[in-house]
Amino acid sequence: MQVTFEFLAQLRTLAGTANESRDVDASTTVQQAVLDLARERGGDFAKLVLDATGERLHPSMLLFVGDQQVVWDEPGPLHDRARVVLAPPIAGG
Amino acid sequence: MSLDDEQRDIYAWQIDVPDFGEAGQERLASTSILVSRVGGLGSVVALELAAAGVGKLVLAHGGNTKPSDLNRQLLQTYDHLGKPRIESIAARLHDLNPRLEIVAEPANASTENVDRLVEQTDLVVDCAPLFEERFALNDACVRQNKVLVEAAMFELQAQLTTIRPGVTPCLRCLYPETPPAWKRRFPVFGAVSATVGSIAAMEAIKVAARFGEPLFGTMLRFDLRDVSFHRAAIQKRADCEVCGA
Repeated sequence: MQVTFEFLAQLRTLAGTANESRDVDASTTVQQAVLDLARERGGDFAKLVLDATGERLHPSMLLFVGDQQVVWDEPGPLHDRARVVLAPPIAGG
Repeated sequence: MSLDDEQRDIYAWQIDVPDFGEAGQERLASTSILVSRVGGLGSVVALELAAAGVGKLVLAHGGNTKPSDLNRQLLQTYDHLGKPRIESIAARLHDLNPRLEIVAEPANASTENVDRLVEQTDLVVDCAPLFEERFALNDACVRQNKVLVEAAMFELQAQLTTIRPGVTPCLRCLYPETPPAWKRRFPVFGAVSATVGSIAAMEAIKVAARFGEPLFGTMLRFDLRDVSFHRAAIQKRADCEVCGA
């Protein structure tokens, strides 16, 4: 199945693109898809997305599938054509 | 608080809004709101709240006006460069609404002053650029059970949510620690801060006047690059050290 990642704010700058579509197995969870994406992109992208262990989402990163926030420790099933949003922290000014 | 004839005249166009009416206007007139940092985002929040007839604004903003403020901080002016920002903010808001009661705090919110600032108000709009300030406001609002409108921006993107302590996720549910990668200066247009500021002001007006559907438990994200808007449900964090059970 195909999922599309959307990158917001600083992550978009690091990714060099606003979104990226990828083919994943039907059994892939959103957590595994995020880990695979970050590890393949590596560098500063991975540092922003993952915590120091490299095994979990960074606590300051918001993760959404469609119109629902996904908490890292809760089940995160994907579906074909899912839109996965990675939103780094932003503020006022 | 009953409206007088001048107030009915000034606010006639919004009193006509269904579900708001004269009762809503009276509620606004008796409401006190803290706007923390009255910069690019907060200046528009404060302007809209002053224009709408909020009774009292507590405004926290330190420092002097700099050239780099002028692309977005709409309560600053070229002839005020080098002078305290809060003076220009208070003067221009009073020009618009002389009845507005203003408490001008010439400092940014911090753990030292935040409880005193929040105590004076019914609700808070967080427009601060640093997470230390944002967390101080969030924590004080949770302690004092005050609604907090959270607004943020980056480049042509922005996000908002409205926090009701004990009911919705708080800011620490979303960001449990100070984000290490966040930088004080970031790219943004004044038109973006004005857009998100206007929406944040409308959130505060809805909460104060008790009408409409504020963004409780919902995050609004938008991107003016392609003018797309999205809403998503956000979650409380069970182990949140500020609002967790």
